[in-house]
Amino acid sequence: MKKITVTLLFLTGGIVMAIPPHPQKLEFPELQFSLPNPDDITYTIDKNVSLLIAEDHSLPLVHLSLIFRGGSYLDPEGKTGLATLTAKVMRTGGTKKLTPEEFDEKADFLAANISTSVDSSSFRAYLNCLSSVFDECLELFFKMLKEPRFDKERLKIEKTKMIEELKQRNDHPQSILWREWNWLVYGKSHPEARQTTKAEIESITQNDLFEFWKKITPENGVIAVVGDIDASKIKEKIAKMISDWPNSGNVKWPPEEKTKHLSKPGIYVIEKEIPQTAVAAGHRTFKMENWLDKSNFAITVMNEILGGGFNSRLFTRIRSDEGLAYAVRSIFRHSVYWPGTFIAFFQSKNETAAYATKLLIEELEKMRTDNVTSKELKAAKQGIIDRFPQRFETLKAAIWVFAEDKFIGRPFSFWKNYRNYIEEVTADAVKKAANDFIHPEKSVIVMVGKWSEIDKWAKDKNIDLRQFGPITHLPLRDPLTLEPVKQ
Amino acid sequence: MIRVGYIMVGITLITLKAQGATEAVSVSPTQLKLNLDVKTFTLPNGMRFLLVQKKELPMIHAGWVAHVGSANERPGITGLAHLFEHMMFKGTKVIGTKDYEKEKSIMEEKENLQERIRELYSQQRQRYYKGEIEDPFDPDTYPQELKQLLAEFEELDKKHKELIIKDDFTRIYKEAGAANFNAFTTYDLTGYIISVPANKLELWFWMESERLLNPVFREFYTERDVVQEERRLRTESTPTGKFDELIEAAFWQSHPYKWPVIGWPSDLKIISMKQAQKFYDMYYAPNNITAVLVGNFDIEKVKELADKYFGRLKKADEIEEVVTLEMPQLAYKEIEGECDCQPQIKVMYHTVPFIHKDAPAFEVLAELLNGYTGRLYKTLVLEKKIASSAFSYNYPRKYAGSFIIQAETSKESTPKELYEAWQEILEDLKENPVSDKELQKVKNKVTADSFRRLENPFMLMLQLVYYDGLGDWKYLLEWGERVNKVTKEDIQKIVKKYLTKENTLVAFYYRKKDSESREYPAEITELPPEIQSHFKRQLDAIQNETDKEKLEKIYTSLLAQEGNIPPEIQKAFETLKKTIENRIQELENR
Repeated sequence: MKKITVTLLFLTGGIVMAIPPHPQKLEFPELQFSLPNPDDITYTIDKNVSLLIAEDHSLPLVHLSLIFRGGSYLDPEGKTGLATLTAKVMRTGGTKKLTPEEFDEKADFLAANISTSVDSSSFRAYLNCLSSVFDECLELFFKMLKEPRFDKERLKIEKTKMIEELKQRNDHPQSILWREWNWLVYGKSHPEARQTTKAEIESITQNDLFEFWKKITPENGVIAVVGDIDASKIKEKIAKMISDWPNSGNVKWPPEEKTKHLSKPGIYVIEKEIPQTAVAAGHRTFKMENWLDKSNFAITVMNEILGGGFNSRLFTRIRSDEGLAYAVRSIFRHSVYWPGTFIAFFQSKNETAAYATKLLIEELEKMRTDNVTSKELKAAKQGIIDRFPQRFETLKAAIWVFAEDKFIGRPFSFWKNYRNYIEEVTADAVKKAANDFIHPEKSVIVMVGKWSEIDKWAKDKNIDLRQFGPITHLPLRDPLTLEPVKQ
Repeated sequence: MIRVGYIMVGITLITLKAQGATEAVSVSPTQLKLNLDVKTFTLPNGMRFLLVQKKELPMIHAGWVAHVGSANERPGITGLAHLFEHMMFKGTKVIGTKDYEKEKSIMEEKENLQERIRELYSQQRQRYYKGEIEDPFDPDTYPQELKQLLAEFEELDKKHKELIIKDDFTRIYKEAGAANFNAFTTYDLTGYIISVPANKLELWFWMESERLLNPVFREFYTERDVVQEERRLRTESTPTGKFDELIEAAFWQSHPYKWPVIGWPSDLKIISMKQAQKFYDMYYAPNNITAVLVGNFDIEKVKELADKYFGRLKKADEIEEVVTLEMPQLAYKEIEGECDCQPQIKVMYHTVPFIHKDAPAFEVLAELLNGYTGRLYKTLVLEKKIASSAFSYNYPRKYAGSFIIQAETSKESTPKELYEAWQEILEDLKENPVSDKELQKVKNKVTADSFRRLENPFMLMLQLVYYDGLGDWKYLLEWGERVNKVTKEDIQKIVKKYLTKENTLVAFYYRKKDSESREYPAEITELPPEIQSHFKRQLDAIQNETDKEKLEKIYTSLLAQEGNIPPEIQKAFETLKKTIENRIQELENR
């Protein structure tokens, strides 16, 4: 496979220039950076698994990353958290033949790093070891995946740990904020928004884990291997591991929204005795169906100007000029399974929370009505283009991106032409993107803070928050049961 | 002309074997090649360069190390090495200023004021010696003149601030697409690091030679206060933090390691610009500096630029060495402290310097004890169930070293029980050689880690900076090989020789009555113990920090590291980020 290639084009040749008095006067060669084509190293093996293999012999190490269907969207009713628990105990709970202790000893002896995890739509496992023992490690790794023991004692430990985690749910205002915001915009049963409780975790049994494990199957999954390996041999080895997988995949795919949730725009307040209010405002966007749609790149540039970059408008207006907030940013979260979201987020003192919210909405409106300046546009594009190579700094980093692409169906041409597409974005396209994808009037605004203070200062400054929608007070919830806490 | 002396360190052979493996783990003997080509050259003024060319990278990770740390200080100027780390970000004659000439005259005025202020502080100390006042730096005890001078100074400082462009140096780098801009000071070295896009090589040369050639120590005196705050943060931030300085001072008898890198508060109040300049001229001379570049560059171009930019620096005639040796410890030392903490122990032993031949055996020993299958965790946590965490580490510095054991109690157990259990492990290590299999397990890990640590180009640069600062960057290449040569006899030998009673300091910590234990989120408590405590310390430190700017700096540097965070600590890293955000917000709202 071709490696990432980087070339520097020197304009000044061999002429020795004097040292300029200020770095502004320095001239730099152009940085040319090209990516390898992942199609050259992608193979389709048994069960339609995509296998990406990249040889890199600079160090005697191998990394293997596995992405299979089977995320928390498969959690059964009343057992939210099962996917997470299955992944955890798969790693710590031993295998059919090995006790958990024996498994740990063996992994340690081979100096292997092995881990497992899930997100809303996928199951993931990772292996890193010396190439000299890769075969043994691969064996152990697939034993863990194909013949887990889910040791009862280890399951107990992991359940206790998870419940301990739940206890801290209300400690950070952000965790309350995101829980409520997700519930409001996605609906409580949506895979992106679902929350577990102590009772649900306690109800999970070893048998549940085995049942869930049966749903984690290789069909249409992705495996990526990078490092000191012989590509031709590895293909066979992995194909063999896959061919006799114990379960077959008749798992529901793709993850989907069960019911169409209609979020009601407005302001939602959760009372918490804290000096600063955490605020999130935003709404659902669109389901990503065509990654190459030019509007995606216009969105990227638009968001860089609005609230993504170091010198963004939100950052400058709310943070630098007014000194009202610290972490101010806006993001677009894309998804290929359901409509994504646009979110603007900040934290501000209770006294200034309403005012900062007003500024935020103003900036969103301005993005829709006014043209961006050519200076802003140029700086935003330059910033995105300059940072682009960092994402692919090493071959491993690049392969990880490509593996993700394969899983979600993002074509290579997205990255191949990324910088060109960004370069082509015009001021008009930015304005159109803002009009198409930012809707202040549809926004769900959640505030976690001390309402009496927020309200008092809003009135003092003559800000009527109701102009942004009706105000609803939501209860704080018990971290273990999620039942409203009586205040 | 540049004198070029290439050192080709291309090949180190490491053998990974499963000797004596009793079960069916067939790890076949394989010859492993360590491919790291480090080229070196030295400028006529003595400045050294280490280059690792990686043509496939779009970046250059660059750093330099000044071979100076707190060990180069003396009582009276402690904290100066670290103060420089702060000063180096303040700009130069053309960067960070609206009008340097105006600034210069204000700085002279400031210096005159400080001269008189120091005289008055000297009188304050006399009053203190006589017992007239309890604290010479308590503003309530200041004579009228001192109060007035300090107020005048503050006024002048305000005027000065108007001429300063804040963070100008950082801004130039940021706008050029740089990341990871940072610096650090230890007992032995001071390092300055950054990552720039590969086409911005010359910018790095311009900026770094500029701040070495034309530094302006603007805000010197106000920065002393910032450092004071940082000191408070470090010592008060963790439950046992306030004892750290005490322990170090009690552990080291004669060596300059006895004072903290951050310096003593009474010195920080007094250090003058003149002392700083003298220190700078000697220790920031090119013949005391090594630069490291890892990434995509042309070697000839680097040499040309090095000569052009850094060649302008003047060599120092003499660089003072650290000559004081640590005295052998003659008696067992014990410390008892009370804190708002889980009861715990910290055990320290005097060992060997970084470049010492026995150092690799200590690395192996630490690995034998660590991890979920290591002896400390297995015995104290799993079997005896008296500890919630237990780990060890080897801490070799440039001129001397220590080996450290730490453990926290669980439920009703006591720190004494932890120490006794450790003594049992220690006795066993002295009497019985470790098994071949156990030793091989450790070696396998060390071998794998010796490669893993070379994978990330930024980390590679950072390690070259660090190890050169400790006396030998080649450690990075030889580590795996040296560790693989360690025998079970070597382990027994070093345990018997260094881990003796009269070479021990033990700190026992008990919970102060009425104090609550702190809880940490699961993403922290699930980390391996040795990383865990690092994160806990950081979280505590952030919670206790009161300087918003300091936190913002930490935050920015965290953001810069984002791309380099290994997946296993990603969650913990996010928590750290959030904690800082919250804390900053809290401070902003005060």
